[in-house]
Amino acid sequence: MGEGVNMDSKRPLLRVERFSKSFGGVQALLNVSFDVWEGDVFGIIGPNGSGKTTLVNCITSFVKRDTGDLHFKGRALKRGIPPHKVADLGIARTFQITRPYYSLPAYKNLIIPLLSARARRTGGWRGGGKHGDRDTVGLDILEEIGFERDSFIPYKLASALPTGYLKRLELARCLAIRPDLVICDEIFSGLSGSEIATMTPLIEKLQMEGVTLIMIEHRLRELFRVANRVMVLNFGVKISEGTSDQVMADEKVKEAYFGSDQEVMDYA
Amino acid sequence: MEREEHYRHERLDRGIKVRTEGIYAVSSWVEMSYLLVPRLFLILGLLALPLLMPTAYWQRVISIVCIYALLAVGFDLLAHFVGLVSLGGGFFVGVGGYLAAIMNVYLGVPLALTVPIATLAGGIICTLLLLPCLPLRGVYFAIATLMYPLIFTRLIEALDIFGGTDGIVGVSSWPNPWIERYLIIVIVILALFAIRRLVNEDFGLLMRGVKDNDQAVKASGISITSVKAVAVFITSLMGCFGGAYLVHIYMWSGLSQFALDFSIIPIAATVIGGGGTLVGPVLGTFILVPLSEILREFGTLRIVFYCVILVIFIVFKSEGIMVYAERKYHQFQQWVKV
Amino acid sequence: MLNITDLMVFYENMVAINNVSMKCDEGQILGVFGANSAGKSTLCYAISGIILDIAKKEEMAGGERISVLGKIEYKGSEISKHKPSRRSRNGIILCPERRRIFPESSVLENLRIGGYLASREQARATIEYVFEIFQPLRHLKKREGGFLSGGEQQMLAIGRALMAQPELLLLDEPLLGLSPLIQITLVRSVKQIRKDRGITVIVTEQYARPVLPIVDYGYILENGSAVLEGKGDELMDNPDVRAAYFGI
Repeated sequence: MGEGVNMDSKRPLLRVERFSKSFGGVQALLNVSFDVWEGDVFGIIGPNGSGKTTLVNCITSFVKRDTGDLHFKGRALKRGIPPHKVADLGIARTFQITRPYYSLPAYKNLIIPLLSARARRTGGWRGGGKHGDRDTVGLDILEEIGFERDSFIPYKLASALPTGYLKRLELARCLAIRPDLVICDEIFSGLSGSEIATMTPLIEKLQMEGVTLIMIEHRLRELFRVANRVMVLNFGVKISEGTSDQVMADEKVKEAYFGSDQEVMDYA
Repeated sequence: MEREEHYRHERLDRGIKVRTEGIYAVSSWVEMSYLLVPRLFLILGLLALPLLMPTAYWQRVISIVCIYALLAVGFDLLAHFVGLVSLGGGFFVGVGGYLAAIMNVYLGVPLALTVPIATLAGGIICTLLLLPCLPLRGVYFAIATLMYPLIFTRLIEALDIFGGTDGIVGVSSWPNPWIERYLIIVIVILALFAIRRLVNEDFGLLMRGVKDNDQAVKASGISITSVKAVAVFITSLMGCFGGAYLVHIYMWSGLSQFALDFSIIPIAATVIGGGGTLVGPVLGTFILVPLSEILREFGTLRIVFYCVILVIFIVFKSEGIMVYAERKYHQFQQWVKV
Repeated sequence: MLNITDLMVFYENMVAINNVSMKCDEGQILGVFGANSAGKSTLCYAISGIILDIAKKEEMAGGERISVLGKIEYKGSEISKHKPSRRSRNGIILCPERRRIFPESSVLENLRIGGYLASREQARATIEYVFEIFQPLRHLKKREGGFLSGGEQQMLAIGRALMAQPELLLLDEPLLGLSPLIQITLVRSVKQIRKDRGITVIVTEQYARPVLPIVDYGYILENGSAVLEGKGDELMDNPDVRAAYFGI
């Protein structure tokens, strides 16, 4: 088992126990359990259809899990809790298909999370929640996230932004509510190798600022550079957990991911 | 190699539009008038209308149009800024009207109080009753809101309460015809400008966020049901005010307070006038309602006229008059070589 | 088979495709590579004619004006003004970005819908063929499209496109968001389809490495312009291209 960064603290930040979910005869998740400790960058990988996004949806309550217990910061989250309550408690998430507010400019996209009760309570990221001028704070967050401040890009309508910026905007939207945990659903997908390389320092910076991350990814090489622990799902079942090396050496993982295809193994 | 010459019809913002964005708008009379003239035209035009009408009948029609205009602005707010298509116009007018009539006739409350109380109480009642429908999406919300006026008419009829099919008579009328004419116009102007301001404030952004992408709003820790409820409350305030106003014009409140016209005309007016502009639907009502009066002699055939006009607009100019007009005002076209 | 000359596409005043000229021979697998918003999807829309549809919708809703200029020649005739329905009847079939399969219809229904233009025998034969090259779909005949995984959806999307009896198949970013195993499987299937049915294929991708082995000729798009072209191995040898698009 991989070592969590902060395993000596009393309890895990997030504890998922025996999550199960089926959709119309398809068992998307079966008895999935894992812990995430404060400061972790926890990777979740698995072939297509392994239930990764369903897992995120169940944790953040966009989908109601069938069975299972969820504890965040020691507090139990009931099955039917509305998704905005989960966010209010400090779990933010990105969406696999980026979902900005298309008709608003990029920096205005951040006003909405800054208006949330949580942002006003915690002060939001960079203090936009309580008294700060939200427009300025929105621009500050974007700058931190990689939008060049002096360019016109923060002012462009979200519908006009290319994918790389949209992904960053997703992350910015999460940060604005000053979360304790951010769940990134394939945030690297649709980005080129060089674009991902520019996002990696950002993730490291977030880690240093005390944000714990769960990252669902297909881009294994890039994920392994940042993740300290990884879990593998296949057909809704957890088949392995540990450091990236441990997991990639596991026969079950190789079988699930690559079949016995040498060409594929070389490629990945 | 011979390169063919290609031309493209390019649209650009007018120079004056660019100059009037931001603080430079007050730099000269030309710029300020570019911004102010349309607004002044709207305000003065509305205020002048009752004076221009030939008969008292037509002056009254203007007041009725203004009530529809309030409903249309409310509809536009819900449909284009929050993403809720509401066919509950009849519900608001009915609740507001009956509340005012009940207070006035059964409880002896004077007109000066019935209207504000009916507006506020009606707004609260309507919002509370519509709360269960708020999570519904798209078409289902529209159908549900349409049910409310229908249910209430049947209830009143079946239980024979509040005057049953005869309605409540003896509602006091407006003390002065000029108040009757002008109060509603002032309210329409105030409502237009207030809501226009609202949608550009932070709360307005929140509403637009709910329309664009409610999942992201939920993921930011904000309850979208609360946002929708506030928007519905604002809309119902306007509708209930219109209803209360109406019963004091006709001195009577009956089942026709819940008429489907109040639900359908706002949507037609928005299509014609241009959704999302707030002024467009008002313009739409000023076209549709007088037209409906003129066509009254054709009886139910006028429904055919509505439909034809609506279809023509949807097919040829589905953006609406105001959207088209705003674009023409702010932008010009030129052929440019590629 | 396909000859594009000086294609230009404007979204209002923004250039999406900037003077692109391209050629595709019959039976080739052509690769078009480029970063985000390089114009790959717009190019696919322009070839398939969907851009005309989009432009019409925008015009009616009072949105942005989309201008398409330039010449597209297909099998000798100029098709730039042809509606998408006409182009698809002539064999240009688009498999759009992000699959766009019908989520509430079953796999079999999706395929049948795709076979609208085909005759009954063709449809039947093609359904069999689709299940042959995409084995996993065989067990999922009754499964609703929305419950399929990404890879299964992509297989279904390609299968649905095949049902329309294409002669020129446009695959817009088929590998987006799929795991390595599925990517290799799909790439192999595309090669097999070309071999079995003689279909010309144009594939657009952002991350070119998995597709490279099967591509005969490739173009690189950057900000709407075609900046480089060449045979598969020529492109591979170019160090800048390698770094940017092949992740090496």
